[in-house]
Amino acid sequence: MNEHVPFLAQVPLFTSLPRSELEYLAATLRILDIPPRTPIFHEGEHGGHLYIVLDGQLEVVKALGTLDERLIGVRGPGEFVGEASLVNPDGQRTASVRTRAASRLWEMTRADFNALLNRQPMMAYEMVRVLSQRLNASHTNALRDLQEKNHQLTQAYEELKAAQAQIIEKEKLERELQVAHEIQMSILPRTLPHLPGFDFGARMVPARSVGGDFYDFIPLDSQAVEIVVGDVTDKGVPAAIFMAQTRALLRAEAIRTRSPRDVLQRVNHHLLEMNQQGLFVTVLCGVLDAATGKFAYARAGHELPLICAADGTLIPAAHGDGQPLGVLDDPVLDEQVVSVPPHGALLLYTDGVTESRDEQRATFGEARLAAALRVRVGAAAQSLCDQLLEAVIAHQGTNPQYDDLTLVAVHSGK
Amino acid sequence: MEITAEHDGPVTIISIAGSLDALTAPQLTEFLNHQIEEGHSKLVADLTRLDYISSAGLRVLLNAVKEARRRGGDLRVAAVRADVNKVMEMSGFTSILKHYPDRAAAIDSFAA
Repeated sequence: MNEHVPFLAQVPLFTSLPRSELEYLAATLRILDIPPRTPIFHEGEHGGHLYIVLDGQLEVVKALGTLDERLIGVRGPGEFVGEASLVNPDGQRTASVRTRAASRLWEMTRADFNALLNRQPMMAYEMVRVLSQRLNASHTNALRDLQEKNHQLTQAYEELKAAQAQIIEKEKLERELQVAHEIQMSILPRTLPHLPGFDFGARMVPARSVGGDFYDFIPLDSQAVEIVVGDVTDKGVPAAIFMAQTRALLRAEAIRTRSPRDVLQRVNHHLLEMNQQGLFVTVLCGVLDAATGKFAYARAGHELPLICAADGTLIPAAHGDGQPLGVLDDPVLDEQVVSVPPHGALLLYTDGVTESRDEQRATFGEARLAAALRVRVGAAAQSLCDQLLEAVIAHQGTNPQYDDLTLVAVHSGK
Repeated sequence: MEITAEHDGPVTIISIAGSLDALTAPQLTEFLNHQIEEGHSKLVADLTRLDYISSAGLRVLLNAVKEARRRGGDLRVAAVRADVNKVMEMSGFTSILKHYPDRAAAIDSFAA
């Protein structure tokens, strides 16, 4: 009896074979001795042999040598590998196999295998049983792999979605701010008023996309225009909305009365009824009369106007009383009258101009603004505003702008 | 800007030093809100060392006054420097906030 017959009788695939068949196999099968970590065959190649492990261990590996390399099984003595390509119609190896330890294998050719099946058709049942077991195990593994991959994918997808949502939200916000900026700039007067003997200029630069500063020119008749400069003491969207309300109220009230003091009192009354945010606004509002050259104004807590004669002399404006709007039921307000000197200028501004700081944190200040005005008093009003704004920006240097800047100028041409 | 708080009986004295403007106003807002929420609504702002105040700074004081008064207290200012006083006067705040020449007088005013 061949020494290998008792071992072959233990191989599950061969349990149904008669002894004579086992004797025949033991005598005809080729024995291979393979060192450890040696490939037997590779996934994808055409396979012509089945191997039965006599001794040692084989590793069955998918995607060998790639990042996705995966050990799908280990076969020991009595087990076999390579059956798939013998039964697959295309004969392709479905995985790679290499030795783990030094191994002794029986090699069976395709012809041997086919002849054996012909002689012993019952063996096909055992073959099917083993194949179906392996298929099952492989399905379970594949499913587990798939679930794990699916979980990772879902997680990555959720993270991606969250990041994308954030980007969309940010872009939406930026777009809305841009729209708000455009709306705010568009409600500022688009054209400067025409009044015999005078020319006008204005600049407003918000510190953020939208701001709380505003100015307005409201024509009252062919000889008079109401000029308004205001500063809501905050920045950003709430201030911009409050500013738009204030400006609309000022427009509506300015055409009902010629008294700037009454205009401001009425606007204050409306604001108190609407304002829940604790915002307040300083406003300088006055009527310029072309016939007299006089500017009659009320000042709700706002900076005083600067008046400069043609020779550069500054003419002090009366201080008077004035409290901001949106705070008190009955703010103290009075009216003052100044004259715009012949070929001189009147400058209204917000505190963002005087509070603009340089790198050393020194403010631009009223003195610097007055000095800048004195040397440019001959310029047309719009050019004057442009030049003063340039001076403020030069002062600021690389320091960021903290507050909105507004300059409104009236220049007398007679 | 530097802010410190001390307590004298029921009165909380807040010393503000440096420059109170658009840049530093949020810091004071947070500080005052915290004090008021903790139940300290009788406040004295000691402005001995305050060099500069802008409208943003005035707004912080105004909102604190409103909130303190709503809770039965007040915010009163003491030792206002000439420059700062000029801004307060210009913006009509001298009649909104109660002014005292020094910290002691402001503290005493709450006892009356």
